[in-house]
Amino acid sequence: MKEILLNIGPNHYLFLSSVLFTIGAVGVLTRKDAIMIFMCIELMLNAVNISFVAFSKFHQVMDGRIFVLFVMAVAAAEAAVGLAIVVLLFRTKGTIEVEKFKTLKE
Amino acid sequence: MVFKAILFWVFFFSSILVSLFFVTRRNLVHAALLLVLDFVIFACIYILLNSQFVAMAQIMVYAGAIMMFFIYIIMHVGLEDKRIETWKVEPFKVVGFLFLLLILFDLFIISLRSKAFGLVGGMTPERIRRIGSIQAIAYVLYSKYVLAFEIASVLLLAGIVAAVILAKRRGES
Repeated sequence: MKEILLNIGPNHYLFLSSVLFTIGAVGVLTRKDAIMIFMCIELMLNAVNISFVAFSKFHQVMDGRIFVLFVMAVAAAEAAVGLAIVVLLFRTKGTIEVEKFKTLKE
Repeated sequence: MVFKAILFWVFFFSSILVSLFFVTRRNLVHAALLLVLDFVIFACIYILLNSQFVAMAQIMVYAGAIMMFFIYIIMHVGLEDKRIETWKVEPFKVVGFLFLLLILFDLFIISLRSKAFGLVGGMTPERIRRIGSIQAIAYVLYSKYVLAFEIASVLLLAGIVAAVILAKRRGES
């Protein structure tokens, strides 16, 4: 027990990453607000980033840290396009609840 | 060693707690501010993991730029009381939670059993300290990953153009 508490290895960071990823996935699946879903996706991306940096440190290479920077760039582009779509949806329908958008279903 | 372990456990529990609070908030502005706090805690974890440049980029890009953008859009869309969502238990949600518990259990088993000490490169903390943590990233970023770097810049440009084109269109409902 003391070993687990004091010797912080990659497994601890992997576990933290998996817990955060699961919390984000629960948010994506259960929330109805489009902006909230986007923020939960950001949380999931960050959970993956933690495991990247942890692997990068414990393998003693820089590649994981580089990949985190690329994930940040993709997240920024995704947030810009996604939020523009949210604004567009809000302008046309007056709401951002994803359950109100069922034009293709009807 | 003990100090680092204590710091890790503090960040561990605080980040999980803040994430749980974030997912359950009804008010979008509260959720966004809790997510900013979460990103700052992640930056602390990166510093604990000896990657200071990634921590600074995390604070500037995520907590600064992206979340500012989110909060701006929340203000733009507006917060009315009638839009605040209600939470009901539905069968598909229960099934989803069961699947997620399964995934979490799976990840838990994998993360406890995995021995992540396979290949080891030469970037020890002492070497990173000797050549500087930003230089250590830059050497790899601008030699091995220079093509990916250029593609990322093109992707960001495409994102800017798409956001402008999407948001500019008006009156076509």
